[in-house]
Amino acid sequence: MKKSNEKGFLLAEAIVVGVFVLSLFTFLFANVVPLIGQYEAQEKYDTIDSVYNANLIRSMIMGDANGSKVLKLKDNTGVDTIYQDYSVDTLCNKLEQKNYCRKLLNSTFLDVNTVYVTWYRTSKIKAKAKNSPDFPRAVRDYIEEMDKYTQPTGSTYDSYKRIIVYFNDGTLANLEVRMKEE
Amino acid sequence: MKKLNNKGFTVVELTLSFVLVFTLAFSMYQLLFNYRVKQNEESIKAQLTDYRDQVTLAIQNDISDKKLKNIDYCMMGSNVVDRCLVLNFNDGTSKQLAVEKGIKTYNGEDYDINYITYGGIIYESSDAILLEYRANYMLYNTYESDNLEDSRVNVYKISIPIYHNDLEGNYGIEIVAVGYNYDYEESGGAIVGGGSITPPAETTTAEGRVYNGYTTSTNYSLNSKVTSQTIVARLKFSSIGTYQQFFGNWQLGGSGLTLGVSASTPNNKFCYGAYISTGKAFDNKYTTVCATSEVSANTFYTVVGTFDQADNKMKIYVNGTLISSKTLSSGSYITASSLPFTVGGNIGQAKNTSYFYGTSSNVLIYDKALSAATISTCLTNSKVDTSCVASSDSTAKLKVNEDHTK
Repeated sequence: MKKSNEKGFLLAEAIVVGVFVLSLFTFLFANVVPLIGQYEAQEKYDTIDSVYNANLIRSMIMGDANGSKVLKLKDNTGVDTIYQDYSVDTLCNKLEQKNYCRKLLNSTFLDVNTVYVTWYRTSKIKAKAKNSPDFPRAVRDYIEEMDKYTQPTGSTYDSYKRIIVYFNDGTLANLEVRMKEE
Repeated sequence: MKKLNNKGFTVVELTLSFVLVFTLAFSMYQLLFNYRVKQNEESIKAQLTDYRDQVTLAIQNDISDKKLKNIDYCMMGSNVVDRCLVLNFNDGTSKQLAVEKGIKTYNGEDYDINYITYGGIIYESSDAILLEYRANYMLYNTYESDNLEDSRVNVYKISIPIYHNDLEGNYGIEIVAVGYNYDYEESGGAIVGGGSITPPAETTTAEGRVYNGYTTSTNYSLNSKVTSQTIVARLKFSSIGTYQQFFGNWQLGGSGLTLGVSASTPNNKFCYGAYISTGKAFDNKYTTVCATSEVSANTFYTVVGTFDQADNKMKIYVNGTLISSKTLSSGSYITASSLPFTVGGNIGQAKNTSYFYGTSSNVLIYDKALSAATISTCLTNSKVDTSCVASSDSTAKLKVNEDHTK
């Protein structure tokens, strides 16, 4: 009569099963956690407050005598810089209404971290931002998630720009800005 | 026949199995419990956000559509009403924004609640949320800005904190609004004051009267929008090569005569500059029209700038000859300035370094655009003759005529 096997599992079998279960958990973790993080991050994209506040900045730049200089994206040799990033100080120092700009953007009011000026069409900034260390991660993720925009019908391409505003509470918003030609 | 293994589990195996199953079940319970809490939090958060967005949208839409003028506290007689603001708009309407206390019956019990009213509309959220507001926690703060370049503009912030017992942090309303007071330029309509200004402080040199500082008129300003104007100066420069503001009332409003377009472009050409608006918010832009030739030092010139809404043009004349003009948008006007006219500098600049260096013999302002014919006859290189200007044209509203030309 055959004697039953009372040896239990071999170490190798236990390790294989253990590795398999661990891999399964790792796979689930790696796929679920980023989704939660992404959901939480997207809660900060284009909120009502951030869009309205970005519109205040847009109006300020468009209404300023030096606003067109801020929106300039080509250097003196005509080379496209794709985007310009401005801290509150650097942005306000370029505008004529410096006090108004500082007051509006400071921590008591809009609490702005950075204002990015780029082209209306988003393809260049999206390509630039991809895996670029030049942008904070929150901004990079936002640019990747932003809707794709192309040149408005019947418009002159260079007259359309876009501002992306990164607020200190982590919210982000983008709006188109139209100024005179570059 | 195969013999069955009747050994069963040992106590150790059973204990290990139970511990393992219990640990897994506990972990699963914890996980599910956490998600249940999180789901509950998200549900409350969604309702809070929805409530906040309803009120925010109503206020923001009014601010955008009706153009906010200013925000003030509600008053009852001479007393400020607690937790209440009045939003005044440029279309002449006003709306009250208030946080009120009420009682709501829920499941047979009365609860103290807070709710927001705006423009007579009561904003209540669902029972589940509203009942859990902390009493007296919904307050507001406003911050007015000051020292802005444009005295018509103010920045406000409305804060109505909303807290919830089950959540950390503030889910309140935070609205930043820019108020733009159109009344400032609509009131008045006529030139204020008239007559002569006090002659500038002066230093006598071989060249004559040299103004290294500036002085202002005490009784003459254009605290209203200007639809037509002639501004005249007869002067010579003791030094050139720098941006010089020699006669005007600039401060994000007003107009004046300069040498050069700006401090960054001191091009030694006469310019007539004015803050031009068409009445739309934030379109108030400094606009210049400049002569085409550079001036020489120590030579007298008569420079004239005119603005006329009738033909939407700014023009600059030098020694009686029209040099250049600029066509503006229809309906443009020179924005009001609260500053008096200044000779020899610009008190509208916090750090004025653009003084006029030279001698001025005449400065004049008319409240209409003089014709090219009048200017070529009366305001030339040989004379600045106000008596020559026909009375039907205008009389000078302001003049400093020291008559020491050459």
